[in-house]
Amino acid sequence: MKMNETDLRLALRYAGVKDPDHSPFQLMLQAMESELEAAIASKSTWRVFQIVKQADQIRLEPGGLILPGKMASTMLADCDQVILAAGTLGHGFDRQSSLFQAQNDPAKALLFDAAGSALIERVLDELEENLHALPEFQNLYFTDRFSCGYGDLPIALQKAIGQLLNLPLRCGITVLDSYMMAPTKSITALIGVSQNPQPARIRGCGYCSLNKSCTYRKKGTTCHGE
Amino acid sequence: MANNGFKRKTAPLFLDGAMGTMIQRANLPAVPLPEYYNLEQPEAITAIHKAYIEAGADVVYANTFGASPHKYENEKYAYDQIIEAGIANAKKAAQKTDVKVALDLGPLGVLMEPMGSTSFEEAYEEFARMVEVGVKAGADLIVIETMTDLYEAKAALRAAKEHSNLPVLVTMTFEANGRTFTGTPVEAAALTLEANGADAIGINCSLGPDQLLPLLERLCQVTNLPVAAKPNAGLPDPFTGHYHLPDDQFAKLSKQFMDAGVSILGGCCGTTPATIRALHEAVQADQREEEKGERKAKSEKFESEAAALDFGSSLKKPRFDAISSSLQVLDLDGIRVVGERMNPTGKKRLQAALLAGDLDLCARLALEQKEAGADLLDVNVGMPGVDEVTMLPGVVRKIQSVCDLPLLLDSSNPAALEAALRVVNGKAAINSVNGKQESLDAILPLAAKYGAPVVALCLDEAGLPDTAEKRIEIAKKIADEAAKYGIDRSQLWFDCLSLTISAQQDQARETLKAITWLKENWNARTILGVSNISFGLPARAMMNQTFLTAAMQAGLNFAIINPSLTGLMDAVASFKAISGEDEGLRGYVARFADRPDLKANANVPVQTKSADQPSTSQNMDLQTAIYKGLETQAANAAKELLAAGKGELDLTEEQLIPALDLVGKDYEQGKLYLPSLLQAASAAQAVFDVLKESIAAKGEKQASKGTIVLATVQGDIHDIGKNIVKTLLENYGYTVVDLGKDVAPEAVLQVVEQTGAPLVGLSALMTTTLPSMEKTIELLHTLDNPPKIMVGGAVVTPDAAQAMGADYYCKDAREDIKVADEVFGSFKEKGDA
Repeated sequence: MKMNETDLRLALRYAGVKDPDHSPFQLMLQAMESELEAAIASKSTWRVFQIVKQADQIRLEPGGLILPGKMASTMLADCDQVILAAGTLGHGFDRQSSLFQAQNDPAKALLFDAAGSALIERVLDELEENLHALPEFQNLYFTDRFSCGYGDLPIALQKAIGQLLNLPLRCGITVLDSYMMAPTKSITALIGVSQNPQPARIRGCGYCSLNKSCTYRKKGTTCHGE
Repeated sequence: MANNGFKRKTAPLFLDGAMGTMIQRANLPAVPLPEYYNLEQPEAITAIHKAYIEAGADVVYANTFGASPHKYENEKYAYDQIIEAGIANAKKAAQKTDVKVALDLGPLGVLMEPMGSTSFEEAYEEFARMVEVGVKAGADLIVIETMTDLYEAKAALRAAKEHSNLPVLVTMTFEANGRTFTGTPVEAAALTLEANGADAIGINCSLGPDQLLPLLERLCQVTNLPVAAKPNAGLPDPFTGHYHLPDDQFAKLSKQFMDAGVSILGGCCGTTPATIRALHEAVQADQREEEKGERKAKSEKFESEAAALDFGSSLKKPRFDAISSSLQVLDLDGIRVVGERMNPTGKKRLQAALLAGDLDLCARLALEQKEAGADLLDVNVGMPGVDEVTMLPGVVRKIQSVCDLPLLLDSSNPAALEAALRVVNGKAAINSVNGKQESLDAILPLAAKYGAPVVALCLDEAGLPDTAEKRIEIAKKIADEAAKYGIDRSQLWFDCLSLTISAQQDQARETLKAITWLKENWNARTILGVSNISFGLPARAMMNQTFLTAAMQAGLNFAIINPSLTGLMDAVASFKAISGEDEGLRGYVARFADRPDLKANANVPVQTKSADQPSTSQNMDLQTAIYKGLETQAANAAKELLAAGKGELDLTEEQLIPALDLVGKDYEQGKLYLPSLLQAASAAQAVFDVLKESIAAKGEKQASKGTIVLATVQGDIHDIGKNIVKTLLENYGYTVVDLGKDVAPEAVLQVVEQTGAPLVGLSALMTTTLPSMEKTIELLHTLDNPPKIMVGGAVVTPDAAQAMGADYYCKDAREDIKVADEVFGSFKEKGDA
């Protein structure tokens, strides 16, 4: 995968560089292009589930997964389908990252890691764009993409999503008992599908479970830009 | 094994189709795990097996795919009950038929080292327990399937072979690019599984038959074993979850596999008895055509394929003579460079690191040699005070966590070799056996058991032979003895020994003569450590280079050298151009074009590492170099200061630490960003390497400000933050015992008890791993004299740290230094008082 302008700026921000435009590290990141290309074997998968609303709970069929809490019921209030999606940069990325660390190059490791964080978001962005273009979703509307751990949507759902999407075989993602995923640059997400236009609800810190401890917020910035 | 159940001369062997798909279709009541049905719906499971048998399956897989002790630890049924019932259901269906019942072993659902923390032995134990139950329950064969991690597949295979006498089929799952998710190419899987005793190998799941064909063709080209294919019925529809490929198309595509050499056919996800029936019928229809003589050519190919399988216990000449790591295959035709630097003999710095159990240096040595052009790495840890039986496998694990070169395991201790052969991921080679009976009896069984090529030293009880003839005589003896173990001569890499020319001038000629003979008469592989030749002589480099060239001309395959020595690598590159191995001279041109030392006709050493660093004046002072994060310049400045008589300790306290302090201060004030801080840390680390080298050379011990244990807590696999802390602490002169990531609380406790470390640093990145941080702290607090504990990581807050009972919260890596200085400073004061 190649970094575009936005990825680059985002990566520098993740690496703690405040003025991405005037930084020698921009060059250092650009010089990593071939390593990123060689290390990343991105992979994504998705599946559509029907939403069954029961009292104030949301159930997905087939599979019967319950999505408890306010986050899911708000986000999916107006939806009858939800897309479960996942993406990863693959184990090769983690391997290259530990290689930089073994070579006594923590600065490179840090920048590389930051680039990975930016690129995995793009894997999901691109997947979402492609989905939107499918004939099955013509004239339908997507909610913002959201993930386990946002708001009150339990991170523990990660395991069940891993099973429903058969992540070990479809993407090579293992969900650990701690709900952390390996490879480290992996994401699972939910996208509601509705007959009606959907408001932009998230992309704000209020929904993030880190909003009390976030280091970006402490410094007066955010992880996603301004 | 005389008849391993996979050999069919005239027809392919048919496996069954999917179990999961059939269970879904049966609409059974929901259960927590699919193997529950073995006990709760035995009739339904038996009926599925029966349907496959009626459709023509010769082998049915019992419903035991996920029945591991770990997965069933807290379930209603124990894993052994599940396996016993699974085998019984299948056997019931196979009653009164010739159909064989397979114990089916799938992935454990854990993450193996180095990505995760499950060790080879842990995985092996899980599989071994399942195999034992399966054998007792009466399985006819063992199938290991859907493996995406070669290391796990090897653990399962070894467990199956070492806990049963049953034939074992191993099938792995690949992506369309021909690699598993962990990066293993088809060929590396084939080499490794064949070496470890698989009776048949193959590919299942993930892809449909059309995408599997090119991968199966590659697999068939590199193995002598029967090959199996169990594709999915295409890909699942994301809207319905159903697999789309119609049975007749599946059958049509799958039977093409036989042309590639596949002799075992079946189906995976989405296939049903109807699929297997269609496959069976399509193959039979083809065979009827063949009998009519219309497809004779293909039939002959299949016959010869089958005949090739029948050599059973005779010598195993590999179809593809190569070795591999889990990621990279090394074809052995041509001249190959064996990196020799991972050997403590005469290297004080490495000796000190091994004695201290610090394996980071081993990882770096491996990477440096790879960068310098080594094709495989010799790994030797033999020295007084080091237990090779634990150290050799430890170093192997460390190296293969970062370096993808195949390994040559080098020890005179058979137990150490075996320990390393077990944990190596890929197909490694052994260094070495010799003509002494004791050595032959100890090493050859290992080579046979692990399918490892072995270096054969041409010496014996009588010592070093002084003629080529005597060397060849010993080579013959070793080859004869190896044949008794089923080891083909191609798997012996003969070392005709290079002796010191200044002591025995005629011996160089004898060595070359022996290499020539072995090449011409046996087309044997030969290997040679080159540098012995020049001991005690001036211009050793010249002598070594000339001798190496002569040996290559005589037919040498493997040169054991230091790949950082430019002259030797130049000779190899030039020879490859002359021999034709370097087609179109691309390698030669790439190596020599634009090389500065050749251009100016000067004798300047070639710099590789500093390529990405801006050039600056050569005499930059140490503090500036560190501040600017310039590794090479900082190291050079340190060397100059040492040469001028500066002591190591003074240099640290007067230059290194003040420079780092300045960097730290500017970072805190926002003048420098994190990457700059890290570059300065790398430069300081380079200076430390210089100091360590200098201290080791004097035979002194490195002074340390104190020992700190670091770990990323259990369940957490992000360790970049912890590694940054480690680098900084080392910069400041602390000894860091780094336990890595996903570390169990008990492991932290154990190491703290062993080392008596007064300070422990713990890192966590997710809210879900904070409880294991808390648990680790609790456990450490059970000690009579608990260490101070500092914690950090994205989700840790000062309040959380306090609530967990940590002594310090560190908002960033700089903070850890302050904490360490405080903790050890107060220690020192107490000590002084």
